[in-house]
Amino acid sequence: MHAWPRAVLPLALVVCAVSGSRPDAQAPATTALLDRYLAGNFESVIVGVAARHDYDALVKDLEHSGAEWVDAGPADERARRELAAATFALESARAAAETGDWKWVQQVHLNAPGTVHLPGIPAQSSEAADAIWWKAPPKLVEWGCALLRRHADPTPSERVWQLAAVATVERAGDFEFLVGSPWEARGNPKDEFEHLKHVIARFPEEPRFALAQAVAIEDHTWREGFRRPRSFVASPGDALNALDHMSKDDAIGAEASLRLGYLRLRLNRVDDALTLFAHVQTATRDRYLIYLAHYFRGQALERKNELADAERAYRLALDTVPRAQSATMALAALLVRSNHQIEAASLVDASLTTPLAVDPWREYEAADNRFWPTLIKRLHTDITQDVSGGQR
Amino acid sequence: MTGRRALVLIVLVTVAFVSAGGRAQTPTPQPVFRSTTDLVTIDVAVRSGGNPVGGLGAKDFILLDNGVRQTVEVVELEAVPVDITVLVDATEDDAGSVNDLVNQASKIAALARPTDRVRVMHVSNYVSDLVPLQRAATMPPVPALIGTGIPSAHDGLAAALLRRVDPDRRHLIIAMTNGIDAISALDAATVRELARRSTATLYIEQVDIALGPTPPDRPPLYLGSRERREIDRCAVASLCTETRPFWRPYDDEQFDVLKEAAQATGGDLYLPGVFINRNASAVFEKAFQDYRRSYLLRFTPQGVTREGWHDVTVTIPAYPEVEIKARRGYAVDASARPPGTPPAPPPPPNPVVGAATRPARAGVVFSLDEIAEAYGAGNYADADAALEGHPRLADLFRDLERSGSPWPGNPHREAAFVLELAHAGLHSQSRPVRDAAVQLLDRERKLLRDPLGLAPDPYERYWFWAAIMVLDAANLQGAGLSFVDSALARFPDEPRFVLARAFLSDQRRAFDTLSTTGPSLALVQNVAELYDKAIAHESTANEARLRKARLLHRAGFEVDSLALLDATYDDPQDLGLTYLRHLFRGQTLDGLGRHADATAEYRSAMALVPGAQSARVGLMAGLLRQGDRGSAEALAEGIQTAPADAMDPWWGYWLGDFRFYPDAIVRLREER
Repeated sequence: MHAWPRAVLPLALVVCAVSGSRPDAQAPATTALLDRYLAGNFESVIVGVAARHDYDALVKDLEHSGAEWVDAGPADERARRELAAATFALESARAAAETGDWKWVQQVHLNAPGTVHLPGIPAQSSEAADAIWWKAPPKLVEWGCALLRRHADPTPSERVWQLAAVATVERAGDFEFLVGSPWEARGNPKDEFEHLKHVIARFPEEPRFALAQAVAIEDHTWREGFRRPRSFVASPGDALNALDHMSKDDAIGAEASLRLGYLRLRLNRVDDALTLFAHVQTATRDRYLIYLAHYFRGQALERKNELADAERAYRLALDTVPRAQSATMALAALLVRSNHQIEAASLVDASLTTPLAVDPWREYEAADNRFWPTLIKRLHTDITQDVSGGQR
Repeated sequence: MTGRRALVLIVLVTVAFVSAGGRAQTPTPQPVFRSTTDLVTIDVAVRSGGNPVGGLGAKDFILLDNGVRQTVEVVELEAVPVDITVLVDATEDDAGSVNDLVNQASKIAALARPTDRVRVMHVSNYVSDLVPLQRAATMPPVPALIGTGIPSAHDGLAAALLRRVDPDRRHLIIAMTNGIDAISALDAATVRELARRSTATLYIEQVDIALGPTPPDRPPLYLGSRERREIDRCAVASLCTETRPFWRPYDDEQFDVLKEAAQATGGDLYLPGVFINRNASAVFEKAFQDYRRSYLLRFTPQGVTREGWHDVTVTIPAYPEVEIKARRGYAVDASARPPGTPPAPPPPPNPVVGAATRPARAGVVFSLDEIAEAYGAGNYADADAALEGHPRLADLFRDLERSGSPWPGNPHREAAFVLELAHAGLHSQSRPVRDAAVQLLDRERKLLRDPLGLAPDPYERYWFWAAIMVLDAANLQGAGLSFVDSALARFPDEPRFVLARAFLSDQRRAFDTLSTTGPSLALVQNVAELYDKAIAHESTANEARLRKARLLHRAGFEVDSLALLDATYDDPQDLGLTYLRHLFRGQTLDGLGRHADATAEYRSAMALVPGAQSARVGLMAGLLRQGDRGSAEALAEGIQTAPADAMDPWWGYWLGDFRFYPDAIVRLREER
């Protein structure tokens, strides 16, 4: 059997993926979708895009004609058209990330042992750093970002858009898109987006973008291969430093403290973690953070075998986000141990009633994605307003 | 070895604690259990050579509860209806096999008897009921699933084990999972602990895994489809990492612990290949057949302490060589009252409730928890009464800061509560308490801020306004102005904040003697300019003109003052402001020597608020000037005999917007 060199096959796959993604002949043109999106038909346009499922073609269309569509409008509509196009790309990216790949990271083994050498290629073996291939979702985000960055001065709407972009990327959980590859060498480093680098250059005073960097660094502490026990933490030093640095900030200190506390808990520094969780409760009224502070506090207290206090902590978590499953299960387990099966069953049954409560633990690494509904609503509002601020 | 001795008995024991009245549907030949006390039930399945054995009676079993032998009665389980929970673990990990899992769930449901009930639970990032518990006979088809998210298998298993079960039914769980967990709150050891204490019988069909390449000297390595997929992709396309989604806090597998969990309930965990037909429905069919042909032991515990954990052992002495697997015990719910015991006394009433209608109790120092509880229950007047004159308000403030919000799920309620705490503190005679109250407000201001900085939030705006009102009323212009600065930074166009800045600057020199020259002229000009900014807003223009006119009148600019007053109007929505308009016109006209016109204005003011003294005094002075001493004396007498609760809008003039506070706090309390 003829074996392909490993370096060739990935290239072939990429070519296939690109050539196989042509727009459906019946599908509306992307510029027509942008017109409808600009007119306020946000949901129906994105549902249509998701149904088409051809995000690679969408990327190409936007790259080809997106900026042209923006510039085709009257001068006093440019800003609004720009925001509409960028937000359309962002919402499409979220839809694409639901089911499609976010990126490929391919090992590059040139003539590695076991491969058949092609005629004319010297028989030598070498190994290069992994190559990164961005797929449609991050490309859509970056296209929107580049469109908004055409102007020297960032606008309040761009700030909202960039916050929404961070929410989208954090939902996908890809730290590399945000901060590049400080930990893994890439064979094609010029292809890194390092999204936060240029966002922070435009909004140097925005603390949430600084926090997004720290979250990206924290994200790396979870990475490793299969079969990782709960106690696993990968190289936490950078994350500890980054979060510690931000823990006193008025705007993001509570969240930085929470994440720092959880990292310390994962490192079994229980008392340090408890101090930080206590601070969170007094420093924010963000239910997501307060829930997690109580929930993690319960876990820390369980480790200290202070079960009555752990039970109280889980109850406070459920006061904050009723029926959330993580604290429900943790509390129910404690209750069963203390022979309160009836209450445990009642809590579990309640946590399974629909609609399920959004559980902050399940969304922990999605971080700012909790703000997405607010942010996209605001972007939609900005798109439907004209330059003078009046409703269209 | 006799035939009977050759029996291999596998005893499935499930223990349920039920209260009196929970009774199984006992078949006729079996003893009918009648009890008025606690009743414990235990499932026992007896098998020989893989086949269930019938015909055993109560005398064959010895059951020890905490070492004490109990008298048991036996019911065949065939007659007892069963609740069947099918748990389907369908995530990104096993996206390729989800349809098969759903088919298996449907087949399991089809095997149930008409009297049985079935539910299908789905495990992904979350655990949910795909099909709620219902009679098998009328159950709709199991809906299709898409494998998304990462698995919370442990939480799913625990949730299934902990479900509430009717005391006259048994609970059988068949879980289809690969056993790999990525995000659960609970670990496998906790699932095992819960299983030991559960009344359910758990079978785990370990789907989605297959033997991976394992060296001969190592134990078999089972890989999930996610792992196999990634290994395949890595070999074929060098894609050796996930392509989406990326966050996976653990990748935790403890198959042995899950097997122990299942066995602790009398069930088991089946790996692929153990049975010829390893489908979950085949596992279930076999288990269900055995289960239905097992026995139910019932007993009323005697000679043992009721509360807590009970160790249980079941033996069959007539067959000493049989293998018996039994649940290790059961727990009595600590909240279940023993039969015949009186209900627990209700908790003592909150002492704060009723504080508003009862005389203050000397020596009673209400705690933050008590006040917050009353407040949370809507007893606002009682909470306010408890705060009024509270001797340790600063302690309450500290307690609140230390403990965090009493209503973590409702930041708005906390914000309103803080306002009322601060209002009480700002009335204190103690400077440190007043300072602490200001700090409390300032802290809340930061907490209330939208974390994204996306203005405007109507609640925040309204809260700021109410906070400025209480600072106005406390005569703390420095703190008030600082708050106004913060408010205007968040809401630059809010007219009331613009007016508040002018008013607080004016109030700062309320007791100064102003003049048309010297340093006070600069002050008057500065404050007048601030009022002009409020005059530019339609909603505050009338009040701002009135206040600016009053400032100019104080400084002696009577003509300018009157010109401004001429531009004001009677506001039917604000009686107090209208009163002040006429009062100030009277005073300014007096200043211009137009006493007759001034008298008319005072009379207009008195007509609006008959009991108000300020207009009465102005009128009295005017009458005296005009020589009408008799009328002036009559007015003076009226002042002396005025009721103590007579209101005068002038008294509130230097309280700024505080006249809006009663309405504002009601609105803030009601916002959720």
